[in-house]
Amino acid sequence: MIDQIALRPSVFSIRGTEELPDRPSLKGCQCKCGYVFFPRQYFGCESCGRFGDDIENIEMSGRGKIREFATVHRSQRKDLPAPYIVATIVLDAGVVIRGLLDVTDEKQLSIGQTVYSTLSSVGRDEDGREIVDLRFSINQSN
Amino acid sequence: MGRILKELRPVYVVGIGLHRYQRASEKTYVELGLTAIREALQDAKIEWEAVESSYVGTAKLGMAAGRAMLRHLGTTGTSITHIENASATGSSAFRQACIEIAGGFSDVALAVGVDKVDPMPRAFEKNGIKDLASDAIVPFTHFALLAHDYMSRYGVTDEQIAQVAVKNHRNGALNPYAHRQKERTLDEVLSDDPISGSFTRLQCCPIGEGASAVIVASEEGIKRFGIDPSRAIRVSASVSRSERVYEPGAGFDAELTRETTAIALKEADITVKELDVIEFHDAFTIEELLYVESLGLCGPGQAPHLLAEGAMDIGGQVAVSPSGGLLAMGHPTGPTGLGQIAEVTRQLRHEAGPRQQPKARTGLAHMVGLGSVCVVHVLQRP
Ligand SMILES: [Zn+2]
Repeated sequence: MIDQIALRPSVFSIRGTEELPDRPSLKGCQCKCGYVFFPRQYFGCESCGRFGDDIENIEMSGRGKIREFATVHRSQRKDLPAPYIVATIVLDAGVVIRGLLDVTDEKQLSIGQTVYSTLSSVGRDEDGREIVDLRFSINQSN
Repeated sequence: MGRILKELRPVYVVGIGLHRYQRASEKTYVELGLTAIREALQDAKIEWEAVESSYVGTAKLGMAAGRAMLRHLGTTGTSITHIENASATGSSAFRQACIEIAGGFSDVALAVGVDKVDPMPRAFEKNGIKDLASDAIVPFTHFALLAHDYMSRYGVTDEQIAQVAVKNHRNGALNPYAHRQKERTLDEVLSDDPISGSFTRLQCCPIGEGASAVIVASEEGIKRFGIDPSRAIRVSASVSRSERVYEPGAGFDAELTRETTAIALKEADITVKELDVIEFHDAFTIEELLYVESLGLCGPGQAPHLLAEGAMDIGGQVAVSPSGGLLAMGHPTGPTGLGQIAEVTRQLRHEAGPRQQPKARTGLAHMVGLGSVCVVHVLQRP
């Protein structure tokens, strides 16, 4: 477990939240104006223009509901062979995100279904540590 | 308070010209662009010397494409400005030319869009913000997701959405400038190569090369150069907007289109029912249905019924994408928005031949571009 490193460490954390400790969390922000957003950045709030210290880090639990999904038959990414499945997910935090699903057949999916974040091995770094990327799974057990 | 186009000097489209949209060829962009410009000059029956300012719309060619092309018309020393606004590049070049005429800086101006099939450097991907999977969810998948949401929300089938491609290919088959000039049956559309979600290849626009040119003029310009006023088409509104923060998960393309088209109709002082011809950014089938609803032609989820009734056909209540739209006419990017203006102009002049919407008087052209931006124009037969 300790030998895993996140592919995009600024986007998600291998550790869970207090509320959902067993699932990797997503790194978002909340502005002083109340606007919650993902992914994380401090250049400025899209809603009000505040920046820097007015933007606070938040960790969002890796659980949400499917809003819509699609099987992609043409990949533009060498490391991601088609077909693969993506979904728009409404996180418990209310933020709407889009991500890859850890599912091979869309027949297993339905709109409104609960999904959980999970780590998927995508290779190894020079020191032999496992590189993991975030996916969403329909299985409640990790 | 800013001014709207209608409060300034009247602007007219007086010349249109295109180079057919097509697959990548050996032709240089110079040849593509010059073909479109010379056709537009011939259409307006004016010489190049009459053009006082040029806006060159290109999204992919790179720096300084304009003079290297325009010098072959005989140098005149007039202003050349390059415009890039993603898919709305040509629309924005047209808008700048209109503003130049309306503001009295020129009496005759050119907007030309030209692009080859070059890889685009995408600045918006260099913002330093890592995202979860945006590189796995390119535009065809973004719209495939919207299509899935639309189908489940309104109980619409993929066949109903695919009918947009059937209609637009039927129109494109009548357009000698279209990239795709072949009619397609529903079966052909549905059984074509799968791309993403319910989309097959024929439900996604072809991105090739081509050029479109539009010449605009003031009333003074029309008089001075003896341009035929009976073929001049008035530009009654020009509106350009960008995305704001909407409700979480709201379809930003449709929301942005809703507010931009509403402003355009208000500026032109017309209602949606007065539109005879519309060219939308239908890069993917679902877009046409979403934008028909954003514009207010019908309520949410009703567009497939309007389409099935034939209301969006040439000869129907309002011809939507009579050129074939992006789906059949194609989307070479820089030229696309100007190609829409050319089609609407042709329709309003009643010169569209087999594609003619009967008695067309009022038309609207709409593009969205990555970012997102939205540019809408309303044109009217005086
Ligand atoms: Zn804020």
